[in-house]
Amino acid sequence: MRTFALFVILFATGAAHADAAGDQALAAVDAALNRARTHIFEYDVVTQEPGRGEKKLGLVVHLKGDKRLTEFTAPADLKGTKVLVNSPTEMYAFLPAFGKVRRIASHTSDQSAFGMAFSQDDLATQKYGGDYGATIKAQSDTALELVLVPRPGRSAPYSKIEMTVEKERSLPTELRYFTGSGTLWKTETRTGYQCKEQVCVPRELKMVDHAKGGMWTRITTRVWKLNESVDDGLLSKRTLGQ
Amino acid sequence: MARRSVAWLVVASVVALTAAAGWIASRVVPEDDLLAALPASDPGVRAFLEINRRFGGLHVALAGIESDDVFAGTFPARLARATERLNATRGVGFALSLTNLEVFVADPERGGIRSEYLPMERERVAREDVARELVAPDGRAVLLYVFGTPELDTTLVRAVIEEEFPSEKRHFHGAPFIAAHVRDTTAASLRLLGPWSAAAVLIVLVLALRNLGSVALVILPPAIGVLVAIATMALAGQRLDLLLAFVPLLVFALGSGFALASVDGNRVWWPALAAIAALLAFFLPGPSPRVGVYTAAGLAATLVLCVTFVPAALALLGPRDARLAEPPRRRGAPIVAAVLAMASLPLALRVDAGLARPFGPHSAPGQAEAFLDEHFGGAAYAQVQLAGDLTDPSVLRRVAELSDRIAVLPGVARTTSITTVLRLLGEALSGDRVLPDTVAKARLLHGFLEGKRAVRQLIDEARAHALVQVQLEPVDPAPVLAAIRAVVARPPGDARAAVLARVGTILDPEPLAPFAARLQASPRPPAAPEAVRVALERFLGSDEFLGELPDGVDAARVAELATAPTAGTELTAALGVELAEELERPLAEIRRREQARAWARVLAPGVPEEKVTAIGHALLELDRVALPQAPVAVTVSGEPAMVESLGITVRADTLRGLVAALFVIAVACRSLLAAGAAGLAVLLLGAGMKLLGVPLDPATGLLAGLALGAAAFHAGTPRVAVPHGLVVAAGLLVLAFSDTPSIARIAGLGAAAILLAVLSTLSLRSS
Repeated sequence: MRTFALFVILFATGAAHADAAGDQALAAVDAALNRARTHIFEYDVVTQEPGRGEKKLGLVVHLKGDKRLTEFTAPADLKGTKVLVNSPTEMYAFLPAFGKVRRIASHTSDQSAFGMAFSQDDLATQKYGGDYGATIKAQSDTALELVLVPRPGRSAPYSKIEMTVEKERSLPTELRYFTGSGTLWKTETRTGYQCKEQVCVPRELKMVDHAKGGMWTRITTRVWKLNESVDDGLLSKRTLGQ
Repeated sequence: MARRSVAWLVVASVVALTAAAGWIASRVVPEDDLLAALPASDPGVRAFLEINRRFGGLHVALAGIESDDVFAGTFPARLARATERLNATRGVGFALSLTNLEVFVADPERGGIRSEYLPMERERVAREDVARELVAPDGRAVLLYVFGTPELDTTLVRAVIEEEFPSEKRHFHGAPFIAAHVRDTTAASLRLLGPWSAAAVLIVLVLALRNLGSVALVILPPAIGVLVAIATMALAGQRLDLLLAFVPLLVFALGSGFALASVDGNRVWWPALAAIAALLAFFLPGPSPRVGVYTAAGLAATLVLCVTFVPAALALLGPRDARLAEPPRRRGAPIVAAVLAMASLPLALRVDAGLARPFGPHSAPGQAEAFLDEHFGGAAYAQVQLAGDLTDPSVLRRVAELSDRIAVLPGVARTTSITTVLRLLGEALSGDRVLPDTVAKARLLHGFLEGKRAVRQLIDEARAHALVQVQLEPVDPAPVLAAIRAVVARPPGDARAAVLARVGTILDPEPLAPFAARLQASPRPPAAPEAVRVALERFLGSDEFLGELPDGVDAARVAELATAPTAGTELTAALGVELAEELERPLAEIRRREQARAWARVLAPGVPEEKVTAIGHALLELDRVALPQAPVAVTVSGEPAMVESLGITVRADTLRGLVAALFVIAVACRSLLAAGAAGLAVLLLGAGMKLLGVPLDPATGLLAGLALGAAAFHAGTPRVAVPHGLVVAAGLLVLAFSDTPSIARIAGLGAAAILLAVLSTLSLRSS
């Protein structure tokens, strides 16, 4: 029963390359998603499981390069908990109730994070071109339909992703994740993009898990600060518990 | 002419009413939940349903796979693929197997812990206690747990397992698979045997009546009565559950007697009302009021048809020539009856009561149980629910104490509780495998477990109820349950008692008494300085150490200084005040752990090192501040406990209903002999059940109602008793050949019940 994930990994990065038309389109998406030097987000997270009450989380996230610091502001049980992510598999957690910083190397990132419909991989993936190759399935004046499948030899979380991309800004608006047998597993929508200095982020991300009776998680951006100064000291394990 | 018109009008009205009843009856909703048929008035059933609905136990499906070696060849890869596929299958909340079992291991080089999936390696798996629930000790079988939502479709789960393991032996168990098995085999059995049963009824009727029109008139009223009974359920919003599925059998079995007597020209009003009254008297205060009400509704409709439709139809078809023969009276029959009654009484009173299994040992679920017994320690679970504030450390300690004490009882394979999870998570987050000692820590750990479906089997969302799952070995559960109840009845112990209970599980099967005696007598030894030095040096060299050592001072030197007798001054001199203070806390933690480990070696000499470590962890909880025990309500449940409670209730209900029904029969028939005949039939039925090893349960208890109703009716219409008994018995005996145990059991006992009612009535009538 020790099957529980530990920490949210938000917005990891990875290498990208592209060659065919689909890969070029995907590379444009990756570029559009990764133009900022720093981000500061305040998120409200709501998860709704059929037949159960809503679960809420509050998060403040600082992002700079590959490092990100997430602080829980809600619920009360987790308030004050901080997670510093140095890489997709290494993080440091400050747990106020225990008064200490703990190093945690996580290798189970395909699991749900805090009961959300998003897995840790879903939250971490901010570049797709490294793991997936893309083909253009259809396109209109305003949108592209990409089909992403894992590149040979790469271990990717999904067997297939269908991505709807807003053509003008190369921003994904809907991602449909499929199982190995071709069944639609989850659908993620990204809506209400807000842009500053050619950097755009969605106001709302919503993931619906079709396997779990339509369970969904909605992440709403309450505050977004772009390219503000984020001190390196803030993103260090030494200051995590201070 | 006018009489024929009225007859046609009656027939037309009946046709219209039948169509209406049929349409309404078609809207009744079948109840998929097998347990819905159990009497909610029984405290054991109520507790079982409440607990399993709260913790989702009724949606947990198990898939077992046998193989020569689950660690070899393509098996691990296929298991991983099956688990992955199941986790993306509709209705599956979470599928757990060896391949996605998350474990925490200390990282000795870089510090902290690693969370990873347990590697599919024999030696590594053997070291993980929790893996024992997922792989057999000999590595020849694995188990997948599928935590389903209410929409779980077992055919999808089965399909994944069969596709990934086409040549291995597969087993499916758990409430969803058992329900599907019972539903499918019952339907298949009825499809196969139903027509033959109907044919048997028709043959006996044709032989008895020698007139097809009369046969039709015997069949139609109870058939319409069945429709009315089901329509009444639909109108009342009642789902057709496993128990109510027997209402058509009761209506047809008794109603066919009404129709037979009516066609034969008997006055049926009073005997039929006596039968309905006896039935209601038996069911309403007894085993199943719902069955009594709906059966009575169907029989009342049948009776109305017998006094309206049958005469009208006979008027149209023309009168019958021959009537049924009067049964002979035999001298001595009452004496035989009295002897039988005396002989059967002690057997009937000792009939086992509980719940008959809905599947046989050779069925798929039966074989799955044998598989679980053989490879995983047992298929049956008792459950202990604790209601209290589970963010309160004293309540968590009580959960752990009970779980640990029960784990070492004879007949218990293992226990699982939320405290196991909390200890492991606590170790991951703090370094100590202990329960949280403050509300804040408890709430933080609970927060990290939010949304974990496997954990929901052990604690509810409100953190107000915890469940200790007690896996029972394949032995008689009664003494084990008694022992569990005795443990639960003991008052909560202090921290020392809780530690002893914990150590008991670690040392098991070795006795705990020597350890307890040494714990009382042995002073606590100091931590071994060398062990502290090594641990501190490792910490300082790890990534978990947040400070920076001054130039020229390495980890080994600091560790040496920190463990020297003059640690304070020299350490401060070497590191500076701030860094020296920063080291105080980790150093204290290391000392505490090493001291506990040293003490464990003294208290449990000669035990393997991993047990020393585990005992050391347990001893850490001895230093907790004494906690006042917050209120905790404990309930013992699980299927064996539920069956035990159900047995007591069913026996009492049946006895109460029997007394009431016999009284009603005596009054309605104005005959003590009629009541005696009915009582004799039930006694003989009970004795037969005892001899055959069939338990008295909510379903088999219904057959006493059949015997009582038939005896009451036959008392007023003895001429139809024999043909009626033969008609019903013929139909039921065909169904008794079903390979579905519940159908075979009920049909066989039903045939016996009606024949015994006939024999009893005719025997006592002879006096």
